[in-house]
Amino acid sequence: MCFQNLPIEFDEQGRAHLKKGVANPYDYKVENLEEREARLKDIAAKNGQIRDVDFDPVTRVAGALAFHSTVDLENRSVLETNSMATLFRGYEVILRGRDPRDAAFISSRACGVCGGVHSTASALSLEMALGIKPPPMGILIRNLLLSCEYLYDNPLHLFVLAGPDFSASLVRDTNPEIWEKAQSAPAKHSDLHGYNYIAEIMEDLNPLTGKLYLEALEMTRVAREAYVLLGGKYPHPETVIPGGVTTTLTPTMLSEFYLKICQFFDYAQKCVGVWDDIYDFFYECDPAYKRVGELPATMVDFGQWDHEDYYDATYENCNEWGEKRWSTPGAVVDGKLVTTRLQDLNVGTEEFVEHSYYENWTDAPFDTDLAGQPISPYHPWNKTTIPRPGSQNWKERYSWSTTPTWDRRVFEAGAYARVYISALAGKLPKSDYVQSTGSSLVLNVPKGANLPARRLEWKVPEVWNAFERNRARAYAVAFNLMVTLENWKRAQDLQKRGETQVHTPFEIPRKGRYRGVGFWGAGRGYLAHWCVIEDGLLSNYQIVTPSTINACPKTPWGEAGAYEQAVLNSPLLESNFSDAEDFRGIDILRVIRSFDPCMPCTTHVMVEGSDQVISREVTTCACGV
Amino acid sequence: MASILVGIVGYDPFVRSFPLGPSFLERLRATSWGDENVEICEFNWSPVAIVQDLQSRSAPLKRVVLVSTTDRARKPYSVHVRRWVPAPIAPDALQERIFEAVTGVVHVDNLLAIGAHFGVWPPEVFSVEVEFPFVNVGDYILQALDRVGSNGAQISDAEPDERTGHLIEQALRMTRQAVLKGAEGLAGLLPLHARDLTPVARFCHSHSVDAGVG
Repeated sequence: MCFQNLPIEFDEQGRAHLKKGVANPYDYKVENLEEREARLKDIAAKNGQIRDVDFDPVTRVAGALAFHSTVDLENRSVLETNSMATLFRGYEVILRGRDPRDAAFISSRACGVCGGVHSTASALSLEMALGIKPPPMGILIRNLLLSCEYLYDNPLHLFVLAGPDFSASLVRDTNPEIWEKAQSAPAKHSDLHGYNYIAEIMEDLNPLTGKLYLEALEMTRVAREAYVLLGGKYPHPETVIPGGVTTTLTPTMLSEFYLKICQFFDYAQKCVGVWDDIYDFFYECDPAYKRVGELPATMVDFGQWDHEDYYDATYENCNEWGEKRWSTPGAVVDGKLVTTRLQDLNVGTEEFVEHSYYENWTDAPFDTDLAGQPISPYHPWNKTTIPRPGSQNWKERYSWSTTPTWDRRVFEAGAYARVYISALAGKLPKSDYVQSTGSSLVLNVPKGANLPARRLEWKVPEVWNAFERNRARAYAVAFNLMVTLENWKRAQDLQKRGETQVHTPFEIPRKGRYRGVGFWGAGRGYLAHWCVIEDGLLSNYQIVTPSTINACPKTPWGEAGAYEQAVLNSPLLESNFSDAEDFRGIDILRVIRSFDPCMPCTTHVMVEGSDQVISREVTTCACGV
Repeated sequence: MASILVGIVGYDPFVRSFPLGPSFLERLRATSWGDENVEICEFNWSPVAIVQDLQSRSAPLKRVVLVSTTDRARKPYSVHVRRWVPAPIAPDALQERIFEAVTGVVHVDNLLAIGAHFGVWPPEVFSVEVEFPFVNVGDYILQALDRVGSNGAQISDAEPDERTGHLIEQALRMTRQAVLKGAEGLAGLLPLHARDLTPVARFCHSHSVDAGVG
């Protein structure tokens, strides 16, 4: 029984249905946010230390995210937060009325960093709608391409985005007492990374000059080169299509691919060693760091990397083939795994727009999913994107992001979710490289150029906070790598057997209505594309990205989104400031960046008529000339 | 290997009528370049990835021409060409651009700055800039929704209007001159220094809350 808030129960066969006697099962109460504002005004009137701190734009988050917080500098606490997506993406609108075959190419442009995952989610969505089952080699190559995207994305976040927040140059400035301790603090994992003291690691996290920073940039090149070998180009590959891929697999291609991937063997160990040491050190300096970005561990992920023996593209069997993925789908609520079934994840999904610049839609054409189970009028298959630009108003509308919920809860999305859920579920297919224990994930990293083979183990942490998100992301590099090796080995076996077909041909039916959903994941987590095809054209196309989920505004019933909640829960531990003028807000930024935000993923147009100051115009991906 | 590269930065590949869009790219690809070996590239993704591509080229480039829309407070819908003047950029400022670049911001200024830091630019780099007040495709879509309703295909397939057509011609002419003649072919060519780039905003603003502001 995974639903606690939606009035859904299950029969003996595990099929969901609405509870009897509930008159309006999907009704909800809209909370008045006036009271919040009145409370803040009252505090402000009594306390001169209250400050508004606007991160506008949060430059490192692509300029399309602004984050407003109200902080009490005297008591070092955060009083109020609002996360704003300041741009609108037009993809759902552009795709309406187009040939379904355009979807993979167009939706790929939703992000300039990770375009391949959108192509794949789109392909999966059409495969389900039209009953297209790719051949095994097509599935495996798609998996290998995904691995490359993750191997590109996660190190980039760890060392180029989040890393500078823990670098010597920054910590010296914001928390000199921690820098002082770092000089003599031994690094426990010097056998993995070669550093003797924490201060040495911090020096090499310095942006532009630090060895770890520069090495991460170089590793992104290696991952991209591996992608290009199989995918032709990156980002925005044109080889990922419904039914598989269009790659022409040559006899040497997989060997060349391996030569790229094996460069990550040592690097994966180094990622784990560096970030284990950094975060453990911060906890030792001040246990209050465990509260930075703290949230109950509530997250959803669809799992990725389909198993070629099980994936058949049908909704009917998606619970089975989903649980055979190389990362397990699931929902975790307050640290407890409540389901691993894709249908449950789909049935519990809703999207709300009460605090977003969109109109609520009135037409909900579908009462059920493809298995006859109930879905909400607010489910993406029922959603119509109706933009409604307007002024920013904290009590009403303030973001171009919508508010996705699962079982009427906000949740988190991230690379860490696939680590967390896969560890808890204990359902990974048998592999020499990766095993799930039910409370941890065991990763058997092979010998690299300089380091011996090693067994790494990520354990479910006692607390869930900004540092643990990043730590799990560091282990995700090794997890990705192990899944890559498993799939590479399987692809080699297929090639030896001559099973090299990579694509299943298909046609778009000219008549009839078809639905599909592509359950997938970006480097940053949860990604799904829902499509409705009518008489040969897309009549509806909806995309939910990880940043939509994490950066969402409040729910209609007043529950804050993940960024908002996590910042609200954070103590302000920055020590080296005298007044608001030299307050850096580093703890708040560490929280936001722990989610690996990427706002081009979410939105694409400036708010018209807003009183929000957008201090820099940027041309995000898929925009411009 | 091409000796001259034309990079389109921030071009939208799907909305035909959105300036300058696929129409410009089609015209560019149909252009005759005489004896010059010219490669037309889409640079509509992370500048870091583009820089890495340029680093991996085996033969040096003679010239690079980047074409983009910009908002530098000039007369709207005017077209300008400037020559990039390489100079060191302050590490903090450069890091801000890298932060943006790796999270998906596509902007010619970031590309120029990051490319300069990693030493990928040949001696001659030109920026063909179309001054355009609305630079986001979503703006265009929102406006178009009022005109044509919710048919997305109709929005994205619409042909450019007369003004956009004129801009395309101007941008094409200047790009061609920059490609074929370099600095010699462009009268009144202005330099583009790092200080001329749109600054990356300070991201933390702090102000007192008064009792009237929530």
